[in-house]
Amino acid sequence: MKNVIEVKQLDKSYGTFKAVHNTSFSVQADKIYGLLGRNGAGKTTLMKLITAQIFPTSGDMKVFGENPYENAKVLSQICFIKESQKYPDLYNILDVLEVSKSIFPNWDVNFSMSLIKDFNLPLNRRIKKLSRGMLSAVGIVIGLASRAPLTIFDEPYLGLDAVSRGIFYDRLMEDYAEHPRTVILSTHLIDEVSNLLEHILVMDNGKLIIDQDAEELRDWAFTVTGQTSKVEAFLIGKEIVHREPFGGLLSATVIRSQNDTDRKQAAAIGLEISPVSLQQLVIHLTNGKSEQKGAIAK
Amino acid sequence: MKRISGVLKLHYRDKWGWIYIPAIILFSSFAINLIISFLMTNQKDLYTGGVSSIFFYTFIAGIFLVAKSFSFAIGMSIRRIDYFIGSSLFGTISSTLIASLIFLLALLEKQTNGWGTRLHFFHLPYVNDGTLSEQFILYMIILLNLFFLGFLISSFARRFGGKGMFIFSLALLLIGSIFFFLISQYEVWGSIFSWFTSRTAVQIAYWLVPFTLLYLLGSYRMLRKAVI
Repeated sequence: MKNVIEVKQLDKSYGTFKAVHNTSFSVQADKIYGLLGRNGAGKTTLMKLITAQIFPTSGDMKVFGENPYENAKVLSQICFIKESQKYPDLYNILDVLEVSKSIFPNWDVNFSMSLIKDFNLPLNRRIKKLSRGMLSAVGIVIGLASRAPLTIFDEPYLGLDAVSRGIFYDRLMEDYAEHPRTVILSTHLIDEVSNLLEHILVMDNGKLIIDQDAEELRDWAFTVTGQTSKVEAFLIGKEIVHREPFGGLLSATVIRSQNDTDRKQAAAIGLEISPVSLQQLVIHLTNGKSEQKGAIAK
Repeated sequence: MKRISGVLKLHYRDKWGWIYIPAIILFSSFAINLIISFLMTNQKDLYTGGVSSIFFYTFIAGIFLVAKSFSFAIGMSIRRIDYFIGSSLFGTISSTLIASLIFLLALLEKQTNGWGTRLHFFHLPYVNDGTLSEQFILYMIILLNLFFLGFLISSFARRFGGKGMFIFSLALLLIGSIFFFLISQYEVWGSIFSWFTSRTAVQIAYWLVPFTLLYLLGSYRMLRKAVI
């Protein structure tokens, strides 16, 4: 399949601080990607690099096969909606829509208007006077109605209520089905979107720590529960990201397992295996404890 | 081309900044002066510098242009060069419209003998001494120069941030002080003044053209490397 984004050993430093460090990955066409990680993990920096809003310190980066910087062919295919998007002070919502219409080649006026209705947005209200949630909704309308082959949402729904978030997911999936495109969604509300995502990227401290298909990821990690001694025996040689003792029992989350054999082994000695939610997994992997290394060493 | 016209539209949608506010500034100043001249019962001419407000506004507008719209434009996947060309084009169109407007009003003022009240608001001695085409060229040169000076300043601020702007201002102050000190030291003020007074307004204005081109070049170099 064609790669929309190809990044090799990308670095972005601010002085001694490495916002993005030695990151390599690729993004395939017409899939929905989740870019997850904690605040300050480097997600926004990475997306700004991809869209040529900032410049890399070193490394190689290709978007639609070319360097995105000052590249009309590449940039015209990108719509990047970021939480911190600035709008001219005196603009109202209609101004933003009109300008978007003249900038994005695939802009769909009818779709944008139906989205405006869905989110109850007042067309004539100044952007400055909008609530945080409404401002986020404006970004979502632009992101969806632009139908850019590469659409990137960075924390698109700050301040947005649950109903509006539901509308966003529904309209995104509907429109994605009719007009397939590459979507990168960066968010903290992992549980809400985990069903939409086809591929997961997780960043931590400027590094990409997970780059996996969502289906595979479900098999890739699991939680095992049982008597402490049995669980400990089972865990030998495995990579553990989380352990939680209670009474004589121990519950541990294992990653990078050879799933089938491990599961059979666990079942044979009477241990219970349960899936880990994406949210739990991301929390375990990025909570900053060095549990993993210690566990592997055991 | 689509992107450049997108940038033009992006600026044009800001009707307050580009149409209403400058119009209010210019015409409120004009209205006040007109009332004063009407109330003045002596038979003297009233000269005012009120028209300079629109020149000053053009300079400010150049500064605000980048501050207001650069982040938005880049956020909307517009190339920096398209932003630069579109914005320069927009500034040029605006300057042409303003120049045409005050040119026509100056003509009208002359024809009506100062709106019937001997007010000299648009049509001023020295400035409007040249031929009609010279008068128009003068307006154009000054407006473009001021717009692109503002544009350069805010492009610089965009590129180097507040700290860079501060250092640059200090450096400029220092260089300026040395420059003026040298002029005083070698007693060349007299020749500078006589150089200016021996030339017509438009002749002096021609000297601004190379500066304007330098501003343009400088702005582009700043914006090419500016981030958001």
